Amino acid sequence: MSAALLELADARLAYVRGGTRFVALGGVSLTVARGECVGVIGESGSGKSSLARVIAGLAEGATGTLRLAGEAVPITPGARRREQCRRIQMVFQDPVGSLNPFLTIGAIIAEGLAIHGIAARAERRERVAALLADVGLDPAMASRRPHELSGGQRQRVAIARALAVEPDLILLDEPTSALDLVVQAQIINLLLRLQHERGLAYLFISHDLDVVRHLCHHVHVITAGQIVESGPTAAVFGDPQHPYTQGLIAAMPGATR
Amino acid sequence: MSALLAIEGLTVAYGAAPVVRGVSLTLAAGEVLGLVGESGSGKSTLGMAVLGLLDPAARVEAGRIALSGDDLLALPAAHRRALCGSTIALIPQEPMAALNPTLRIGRQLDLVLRRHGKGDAAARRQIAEAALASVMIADPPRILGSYPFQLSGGQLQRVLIALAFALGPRLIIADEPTTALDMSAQGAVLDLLVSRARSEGAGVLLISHNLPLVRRYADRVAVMQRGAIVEEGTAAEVLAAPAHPYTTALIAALPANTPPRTPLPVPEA
Repeated sequence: MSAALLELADARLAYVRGGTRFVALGGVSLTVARGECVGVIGESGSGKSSLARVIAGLAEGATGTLRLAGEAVPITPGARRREQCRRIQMVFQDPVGSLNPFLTIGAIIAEGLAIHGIAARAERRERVAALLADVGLDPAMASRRPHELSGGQRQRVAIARALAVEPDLILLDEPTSALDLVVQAQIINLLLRLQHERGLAYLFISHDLDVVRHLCHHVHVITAGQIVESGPTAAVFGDPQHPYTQGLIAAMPGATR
Repeated sequence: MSALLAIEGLTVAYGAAPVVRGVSLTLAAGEVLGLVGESGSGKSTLGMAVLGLLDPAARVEAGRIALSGDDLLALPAAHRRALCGSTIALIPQEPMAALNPTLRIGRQLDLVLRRHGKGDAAARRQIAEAALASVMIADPPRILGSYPFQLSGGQLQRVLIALAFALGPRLIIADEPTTALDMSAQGAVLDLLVSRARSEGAGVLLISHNLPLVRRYADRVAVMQRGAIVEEGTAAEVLAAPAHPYTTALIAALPANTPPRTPLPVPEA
């Protein structure tokens, strides 16, 4: 068995809201292998987005240990080396809120190339064009701004931005939830192709069980900040053991097949 | 049988570009009609035309929209506005965007009830509390004292459903009412909306791109592509045995209909 790419152990995150302490993550552990897609499912407020923020190094006050390809990576924001940041990228649910409206698409994608010294200035334009083509967009789109694009096009830009810095792992937080079913199918196909071509690992966070079942090798079920069930996707969906998982699957609106 | 809503040959255009093209549909009292299609197919524009809330750049170029036989397009503007929000209600996609973030829920419900002439302040407060209780909200006074950001998306959507039913609607336009919610909240919100509409005899136009959800809640389904209805029938017929190639292609694009980790067939543009 290949060694894990990502090993997260005992991740904890709590915050105080209105005087009450709220536990977002109560000790979560999981691993992701190279080239693997691992799903995290749960309802709104279950802690699944907090989990992504902890792994991305965006959660102030988080504790736990994180290893990437065997190397310890600080879990606290600001403590990671630039190189460690590069290797874990994130794609958010809302491509409008996650793309700077003042920058062109080309500048948005080239930013990571500059920060991480991946391509010299002269090569960046070419790199951006290749990345746009790779995610199925016209390279001429580099001169446009986010508001000129459709939701599906913006999500492709967010994926191109993540790919630009050649990460090992992409955290995908509800990347298809704001899209209609045709655009959703296109983005799923893109994610499958990129994973196949580049050996990327994905942590795929979603409440859409049909999409998780289609994309993920393994799945974790999270509620109230705790993982209550884990296993190969077919086993968890086919024979859920935990009452919470059984409830989630029963709430699916009956797939059309 | 006379229809609650009868749309005949409706064409709506932005400038020279028609986005709704010769659409005819009917909806009976107590019935749920699902309207499905991709983003940009014209389904939301159709809903807004029924509500009388079209974008100022859009024009109805042809056709008729009749509610219980009365032609809505021929009504004086003031009369039409009075119907909107009371007789014809809207449940929007983003409840957060539909509410004022700076006002407590109670104040917002009160403004709407006052606008529609629902008695004095004490009476309106009673109507608001009863409305929230009727959508299974446990502590109405606490919700009325909350700001929108303090509630979850599912709670906000139940508040909007409560408000809609407090004004006795006969037709409800639900435009992607659960797209912003997670799966278990989606079921809870639609269970509530549909059971309430059926018990009060209101018709529901359920606009959604979520085919499994439409199949579960709609009696009939109309499929819209590039502004035109390409197929219509009972939800079971249309979604289990589609007649039009576009409907077939939409169903095939659902992840559940393709083996895991293989490319999904995508309908041609």
